Parts: sequence; structure tokens; C-alpha cells
Amino acid sequence: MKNLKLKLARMEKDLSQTELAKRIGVTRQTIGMVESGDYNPTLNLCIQICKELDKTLNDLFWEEEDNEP
Amino acid sequence: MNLKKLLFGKSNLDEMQELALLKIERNGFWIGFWGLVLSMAVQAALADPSEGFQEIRGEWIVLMCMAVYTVIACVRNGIWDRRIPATPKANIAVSLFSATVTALILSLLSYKNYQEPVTAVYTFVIQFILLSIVLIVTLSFTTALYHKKRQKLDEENDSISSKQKQ
Repeated sequence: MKNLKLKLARMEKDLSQTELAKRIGVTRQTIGMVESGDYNPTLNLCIQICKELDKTLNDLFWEEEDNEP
Repeated sequence: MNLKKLLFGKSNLDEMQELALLKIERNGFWIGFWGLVLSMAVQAALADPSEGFQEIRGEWIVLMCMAVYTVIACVRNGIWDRRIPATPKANIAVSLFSATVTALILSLLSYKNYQEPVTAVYTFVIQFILLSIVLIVTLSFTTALYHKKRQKLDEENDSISSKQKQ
């Protein structure tokens, strides 16, 4: 599942994937794969991304259930 | 460049690349493992019967190192197979299947080398019985070690969580 929240948060900060990746110390490919939902990052990487984008884990990585009773 | 740093220094890869590399290494391991098995089977089929299995000694040693390391490392980490459960029933099924395949290959080799159907049948029966016994005993022993380790690891986790509750 695509992580549009992450993409939006990154764009709000006016950062490219390459710039965000450089700040966190990962490759651009990794950020691209997290955004496209092809890679599930570890909690450590999630926290690093959140800190860099001034967001919480809930803001970027929590999926609301649509089918809750 | 410092050799120590080159061999044991900080990784240049990020976590996603590490995971991808692990998958590549895993595939390489299994290609090597089954490649060795295939290579040994082909060499055994083509070998001169008077020489026995001398030609495949090197491959056999490497294969055993890979197999023994994998088993020990898995048991130490409390890991068994992804799909096959560590139960006596599964051990017997796996042992009988493996013994059948191996005994069949050995009996075919026997027939190729000596052209005697009766000898080939005897080879199959004897090898099947021996291999079944050896495999069942080995797997039973290994699963017992696995269960013991699994229990120990689970108890360690329990003691940590009970300490946290206190």
C-alpha cells in the first residue's frame, strides 16, 4: 500500500527523495520504496523519517481501519 | 585501506539494501547447496564403481559443513522449518520420503554398475531400512534439542515480561 502521507509530508518540507534520504543516511531507492509501499521500514527508520519531517509515527505510518464495526 | 575496517567496519548499505543482500545471499546459499547435491548425484552416476564415492569426497565435506552449520544455527535460535512442524509424525514422513528417494537412486546406481535386478532390489530394501532408521533417530534427536531450546527461549521471554509486570 502506497504511503501517500509520507510523500505529502516530504513535499510539505520541500524535500526531494534524494535530500530526505541523504539526511537520514539511506539511499533514495529506500525512500522511494517506502513511499510506494514496496518496503516495510524498521521502527528505527520510521522514527528517523518522522524526526526529519517533524511528524509523529501516527501521522505517517498509522493506517485507519475503514471497516471498523 | 585498513583491512580490519574493510572486513569488519561499518556497513555501507542501508537497512533495505542489507535485507536485499541477505535475500541474494540466501538464494546463493541454496543454489550452492542443491548444486552440490546435483553435482554429487551426477558424479556418483558417472563414477567407476570400483572407486566407490571417492570422487565426491570434497563436495560431501562442503555439503555437510553447510548442513551442520545450518542445523546448529537454527536450533540455537529456536527455529525449525517454515512449513514442516517439529513433530514425530512429520519426522517419520520426511524420513520415509527421503529414505525412499535416496534408496531409489542408490538401487538405480547399483543396477547400472552390476546389471543385477535382484541386487538392485536388495540395495533398495537395505538402504531404505537403514536410512529410515538413521533419519528418524537424527531428526528425533534434533527436534528434541529444538523443543528444549524453544522452551528455554520462551521461558526467558516470560521471565522478562513477569519482571516488567512487577
